[in-house]
Parts: sequence; C-alpha cells; structure tokens
Amino acid sequence: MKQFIIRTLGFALLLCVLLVLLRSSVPFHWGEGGVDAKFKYFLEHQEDYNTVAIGSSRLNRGLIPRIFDNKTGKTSTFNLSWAAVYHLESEYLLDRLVQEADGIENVIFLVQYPRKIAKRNFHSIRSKYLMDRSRLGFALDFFKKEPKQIYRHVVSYIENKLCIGEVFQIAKYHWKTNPYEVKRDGFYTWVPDRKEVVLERIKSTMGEDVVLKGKKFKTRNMVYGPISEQNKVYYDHLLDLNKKLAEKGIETYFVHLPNQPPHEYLSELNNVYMGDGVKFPEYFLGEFHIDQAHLNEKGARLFSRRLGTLVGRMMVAKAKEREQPNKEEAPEIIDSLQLRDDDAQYLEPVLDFEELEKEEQPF
Amino acid sequence: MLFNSLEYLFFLPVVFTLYWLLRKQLKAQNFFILAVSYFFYGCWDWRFLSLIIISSLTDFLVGMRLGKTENSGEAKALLMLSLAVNLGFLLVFKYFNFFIDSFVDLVSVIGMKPSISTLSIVLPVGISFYTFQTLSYTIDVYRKKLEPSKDIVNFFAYVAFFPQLVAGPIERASNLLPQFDRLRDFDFAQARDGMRQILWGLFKKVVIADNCALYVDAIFAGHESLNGLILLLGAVLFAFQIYCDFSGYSDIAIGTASLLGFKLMQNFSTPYFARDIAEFWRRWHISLSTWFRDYLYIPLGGSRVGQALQIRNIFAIFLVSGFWHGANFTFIIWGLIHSLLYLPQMLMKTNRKFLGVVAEGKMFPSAYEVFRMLLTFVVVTVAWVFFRSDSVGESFTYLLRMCSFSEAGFGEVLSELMLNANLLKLVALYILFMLVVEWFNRGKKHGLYLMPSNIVFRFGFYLMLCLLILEYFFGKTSFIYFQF
Repeated sequence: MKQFIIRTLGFALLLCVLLVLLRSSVPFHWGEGGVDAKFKYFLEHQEDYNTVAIGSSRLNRGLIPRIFDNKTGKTSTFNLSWAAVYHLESEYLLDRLVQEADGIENVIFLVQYPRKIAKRNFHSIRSKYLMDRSRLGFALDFFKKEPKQIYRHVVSYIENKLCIGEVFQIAKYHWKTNPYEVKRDGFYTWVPDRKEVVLERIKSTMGEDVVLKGKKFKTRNMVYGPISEQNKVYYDHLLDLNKKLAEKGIETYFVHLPNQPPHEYLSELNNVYMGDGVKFPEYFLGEFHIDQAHLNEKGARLFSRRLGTLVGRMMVAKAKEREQPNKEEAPEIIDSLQLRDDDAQYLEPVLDFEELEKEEQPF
Repeated sequence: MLFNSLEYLFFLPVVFTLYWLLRKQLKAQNFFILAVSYFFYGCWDWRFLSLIIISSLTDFLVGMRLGKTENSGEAKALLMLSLAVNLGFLLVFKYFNFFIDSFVDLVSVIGMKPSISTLSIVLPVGISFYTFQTLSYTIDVYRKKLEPSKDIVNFFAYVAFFPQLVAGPIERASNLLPQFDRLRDFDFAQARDGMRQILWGLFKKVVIADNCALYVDAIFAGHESLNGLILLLGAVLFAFQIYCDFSGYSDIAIGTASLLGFKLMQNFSTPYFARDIAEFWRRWHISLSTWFRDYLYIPLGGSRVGQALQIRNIFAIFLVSGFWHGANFTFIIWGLIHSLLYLPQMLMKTNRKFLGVVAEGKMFPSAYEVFRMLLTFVVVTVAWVFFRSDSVGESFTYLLRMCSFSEAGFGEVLSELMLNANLLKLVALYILFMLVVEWFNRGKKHGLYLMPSNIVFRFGFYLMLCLLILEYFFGKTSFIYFQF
C-alpha cells in the first residue's frame, strides 16, 4: 500500500506542479480579453499615469480620463474599468495591480455591492480566474447564509487552483492575439464586430425606445437600506481595502453612484457621492444614456467633470490636511444639488465633439 | 453524488484512506462501506434511501426464510413476495405514468376520455440497477444456487455498494456477496489497475460523452429543420456519447471497487469493434444482457425449445431489455429492432460465429473485418436514434430527414445551432484517440489495461489524460454579462 500511496501522491504532485506552472504562465489579468488588454497596456505605460479607475461598465463608459484629469488638475488617469467587473473582480485586479505596478498614487474605485455567481456563469473562466484565497475568504464571509453561493465560490476557487477548464484557455492566451484595442487612456472603446452584438442585445432586451425617466429607474438604483449584517461585512471589507492601499501610500476614492449614498459607517473613506438621482435629474434623462444603466458620450462628459471636480476638491483638502497647502485653487464645485444655469458648462465639450464621433462611434 | 463531480474527487480519497485504516476488521470495514454507500446515495436524495432499505430488508428476510424452508409452495410464495416488492417499486416509480398515459391513449382511440391523472413521481436514481441486483440474490437462493446471507450488514452493503449502486454493473450475488464475507487485502496491482480504469472512465465520460452531448442535444432538438449530413453526425455522435457515458461510468465504478479490493464484472468490452449484432450484445452492457439471459431467457427455455418459442424468447429478452432502459415506446422499438437484427443470426445459427477478439494476434483488422465492424456500427447507430428520440414519431422523422440533402454548409448549420465547430473537430480527434487506445486493448478489461512499460511515456500519457479531464470537467461555460 505504501508503494501505491507514494506513487499516487507523486503523480498528484507532478500534476499539481504542472498545473501551477501552467497557471503561472499567464498574468493575473488574463481572464477577460478586454480587461487583459487594458491591464497589459497600462503595465507597459505605467510611468505615464498616477491614477487608475477600476469598476464595471458604468465607470468604463462614464469616466473619460482626459476630462476627469482636466478637472482635478493633479491626475493622469487610466481607466481600467471593464464591463461586468464587479466587486470581487475589481478588488482582485486592484490588489494584484498594486503589487506589480509602481507609481500609482490614486485609485478611483467604483463601489458595487458584491454579486452572486449566477448559475449561467458558474464554471466560466470569468467567474473563477479571480478566485484566490483572499477573494474566497471575503465571499465565504459575505455569503455565509447562502450555501449555494458558498458552494459556487469554493468550487470556483478549486477550479482556479487546479486549472479545471482553464488549460485550453491558457494555451489560447499564449497563441492567439487579443482582439481588443486600448485607446484614449482606457476610455470605453468598441471592437467593431462586438459592437453590433451588444447593440442587438440591448435592443432585443430593452426595446429601441428606452424610457429612462420615471420611478422605475430610480427605484432600480435604490440599493442601500439600513446596515445589515451582510452590509457590515462588505463595509468592513471596503474599510480594510482602504487601509491596505493607504499603507502603500495610495489614496483611494470610493465612487458611489447616484441613489447609492455612502453609509455613515463608511465615513472614514474618501467617498465620492455622485449625487442623488432625484436632485440630479440629468442622470436619469434619456439624452445622457444609452440604456438604463450606462451613460452616453454626453453623459460621460458630465459624469467625468463632476467626478473630477469632486475628487479634485478632496485632493486639495487632503493636501491641506497634510499641511502642504496647494498653491492651486481647489476646483470650483457646484455645491447645490439643484441643476443650475451654470451647470450648462458641464455640457460643453472639452474635446471636439465631432472629432470624438469620428474617432469612435458612441451609441 | 456523481463520479464526475468535484465532491467525488474528495469523497473517494477519504473513503479509501478510512477504509484501509480499518483493514483486518472485516465487520467494521463492511459497516463503513454501508455507511458511505448510504451517504453517497443520500447526497442525491436521502428520502429514497428508504426504498433501498426496504428492498434490502425484504430480500434479506426472504433469503433467510428460503434457506430454512423445504416447502416448495412457501418458497415460491417468498419468491413472489420479493418480486412483488422489488418490481412493485420499479413499476410505481418508473413505469406508473407510462402505463397510465398508454392506457389513456389507447382508450381515447375508441372515443373514450378517461380522466385519470398521472402522478408527479421522481425516478429514484439507480432503482433499475439495485432492484435487479437484489432480485438476482433472491432468485439464486430460491434456485439453491446460493447460500442465503446470514450477515445483514454484508447483505445491505452488497445491495448498496456505492461504486455500482446507481449505474451498475449489475452484480450477481454469487460474485459480489462472497467478497463481503472474506477479509480483503490490499493488492498493489489491482489498485493500480483500478486507478487506470478510473482515469480512462473519466476520460470517456468527461471528455467525449459530455462534449458529444452538446451537439447531440442541439441536433436532436432541431432535427426537423436540419439536413441529412448534420443528422447523421448527430446519430454518430450519440452512438459515441452513449458508449462513452455508460462504459465510462462503469469503468469508474469498477476502478473504484478495485481500489477497495473488490472485483466487479466487466460491463463493456469494446462493443463497436463487434463484427455482428450477436457479438455486439456479448460486448455491450454485459451485466444486463447476462442478467436477462440467466433470469429470463433460460427460464423461458432459451434456445433449447422449438423454433417458435426460440423466436418468442428472443423477442421477450430484447423487448424487456428495451423497456428496462426507460418507460417509453422508443425503448421498446429499440429493443424490437435489435431482436429483428439478432433473430436471423440465431435462426441461421451464426450468432456464435465471432466469439474471440477481432484481428486477434494482429495489429490491424482485415478489410472484411473493417467492413463487418462498420456495418454493425451503422445498424446499431440507426437503432440508437430510437433510443435517443423523445417519441417514435420523432425517430422516424429524424431517420427520414437523415436521407435529405441541403446546400447549407456544415459550418453554417453549426453556427445556426450556436455550436462550436472547433470543439467538434477536437471531439472527433478524441473519439479517434479513444478508438485507437481501445483497439490496442481490445479483449482486455478496459482501455488502459495494457500500457507501455516506458515510465516517462506512461506518466506523460496519464498527465495528458488528466489535463483533458480537468479541461472539460464542468463542461464549457461562457460568461454571460447580462445584468444591466
């Protein structure tokens, strides 16, 4: 029996070594083409940037780095956001990025409530390539009352560690060229053939004539309720993330989307609240959106200006706190939540609008 | 719990370790097997454990009584009791709705509309397998071919033995039960062979069968609008799917049992290398076909009766075999086709023409042997269409459309069905690889029975199989971003 066990364990060890070698042959951002292209580009050009933005498609389509940088006056931003990069993936990517990249001073982090692994996405590369021990630990804590989610996260973790279902993808990663192109500081770009697919999908699910006004949309964005045990796990996690990044000298700005105001429990964070949807109706007007959740080019300008202004002011305040008064004036901000006449300036294009349209077709 | 699940990958080493820690303690070891077998089954649905327990208890008590009674009337009554309980469960859980539906269909032909509703019954996993296994015990005891078991734990463990509980092989009591009565020693060669068989079984199940299923499901679902070539592809892929699925599962079962020191019977022996239907049936689902031979065909008189009865017996065995596979007329037609294919051979007494292995002692088969193998494969594949279809009408539509032609290219149709053409090429490669490996091990217990002695080659081969299994372990899923 001894011989059998030694041989079996020896073989298992050999297999594990092979799998670990295989897994380590790909960079941490390999799991999704778009994410991979952006991170690869960023890591190759990291000396050009001191700020990164990480989040889902809302940030990917919402944050135009040049406009944002124009407003802060202090940042050189690369938008690393990508479609469906939710909390676990954002955090994983950020965690690994700060280990590999030097010179990141600021992080714009989109606050998103952790999502479940849906049945249809269970076993997909995208659901598992990010499952390391840290992400698993958080998921187990967060979903502790949901056995199905615990199971899916544990399985995803094991799959990732054992390269289950990843071998060919890894091989393909080395052999095939990534079709995604990165342009304009990581701001949202379409790969031509994919654009049609996505357009079609949006049309087929929402209809062409999307009405964004109204209660339904506003209610949809009402996520935060009173602090629950599960929320507390998440909030504590955000506080830890902030602390961890601060220890590395990185200032993190947590972006809260309209109608998702930061809870007071998170008051020690740099919370950038993008406004109340009721008081900032432009976020809910069809002319600024391509669908219920995503801004169009015009909306993105508005969003980037406002975000840049808010972050810029916080940066100035931070500098003052450190007794390093900045000679520059803090960016002017419209404090009132009401839409004012001078808000119109936010709608003026910073970049040549026609030029922009030539460069890439917005929806 | 499925063999091709992550849970089983953890379950098996734990069971193996604890089991052999109990070696030299036969009672404890058998009790352990019983406990883990019930756990294994209970993972699916613990409520249905009650059926196994009732079945086991009935046959244990019947067996005990049969061992004591000299009264043939009482013995017959006891046998009937066992048959009634076991076949009763099978009837209720597997065939009840079929009979009700068929009855309603039948009387509606003559204009009546009876309002009999079917029940929403869950089919307990493995019921057809363990029912037949426990029945074989009672019948053998009744026939005085087997001493009744005196140890309830051993008997219960025999019925519920987890490696073969849910998908066979259907073990005879005369083969498996005595193995529970004697101390089992760890045998390196047996365990190593078991590991190889598990590996090969996983390869067939995960890499070939599960991938074939993607295409087969889509093609059979859309068969009404597809052309002949793609339907032919669907039928051929199903032939490999069902073989690799079933034989793969059997391989894992036999391999697992080997790790625990048990020897289970061979269930498949390269059936697609058969040169005629009779040979096919000697190589396909051996445990079931021999069960029907021993407990149905021979009691009916077998081939030692007049020609008319011989024909009846052949029809009986194939029709019952078809019906055993599922409660649908498609399975009965499938059985009927095989009986019609087998019958001429039996009447011309050529059914035992090919008893040995094809191209024995040679590297390659002759052209004639290739022709015979292909012909057998073709007729078996046509019959599989009935086995796979949801209704008899669908089977005929499928077969008729298989003769149709359209100009739509293969790639076009595949993309319409949202199927991956590249994966199909890989699947074809895997099937070819499997056939080559099994060709070199034809007539052996399993596909990896004989391996080259070169350790580097051998381990490289195992590693490659492991990588392929890991690649397809959970199937291929694409991330769907659809949560605006």
